[in-house]
Amino acid sequence: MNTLPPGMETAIAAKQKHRRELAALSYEEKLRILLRLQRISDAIRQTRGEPARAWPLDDKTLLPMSPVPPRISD
Amino acid sequence: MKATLAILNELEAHGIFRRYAIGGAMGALFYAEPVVTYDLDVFVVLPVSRGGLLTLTPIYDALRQRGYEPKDEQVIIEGIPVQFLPAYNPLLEEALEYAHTMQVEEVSTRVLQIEHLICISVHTGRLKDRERVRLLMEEGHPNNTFLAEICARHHLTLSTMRGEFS
Repeated sequence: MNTLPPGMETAIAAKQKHRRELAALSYEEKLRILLRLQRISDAIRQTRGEPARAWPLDDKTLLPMSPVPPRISD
Repeated sequence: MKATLAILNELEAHGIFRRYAIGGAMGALFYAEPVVTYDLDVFVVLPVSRGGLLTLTPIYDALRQRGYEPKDEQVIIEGIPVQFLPAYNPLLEEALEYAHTMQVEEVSTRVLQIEHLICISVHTGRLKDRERVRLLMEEGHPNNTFLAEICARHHLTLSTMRGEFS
């Protein structure tokens, strides 16, 4: 029979509650979290010599940070 | 992201593809908690080519004309790597037909419904797809009746802790 140590059930319930709250955020707020996750992941990846992959989007505007090459119209 | 979506909308308006919808992890983001991903998967209904083949070449050509160069099956559009995935089977065709219109930063876009995202993940069957199914089932509140109908129509079996959908 699997029983959890005291306090673990409370901790698990709190985590589940937090995950439900994250799921209920707006898409834009989730995008901002995603950008932060990508940067955290990059910091770890770069310690292994792997290249950065985070999207170069501004946190506030969610638009590209670097200048976009001029577009060629149709 | 709205800059990327604006380009997708422009391509659809010009008939480069007949219809598009966001799927994959960025599609799941509409329904569940954020999970790290680096690609935007865009499912597309392609115009029928002369030989009846599915080809993304017209999309890549249109993007090159707009200054976005494809590389390794991806195109970086306004900072976001986009992978175009043609609807090559009845499940994907149906998913695109049923896709919801959503607003992201005041730009309209289309996203696959959660039930189709689940079924596509079941069909693909990789470990990360199974994790996506779990996440969507737990956090996304799919319509179980609709989910069961899709599974039955496309001969999919979805085993969950709450029973089987097939």
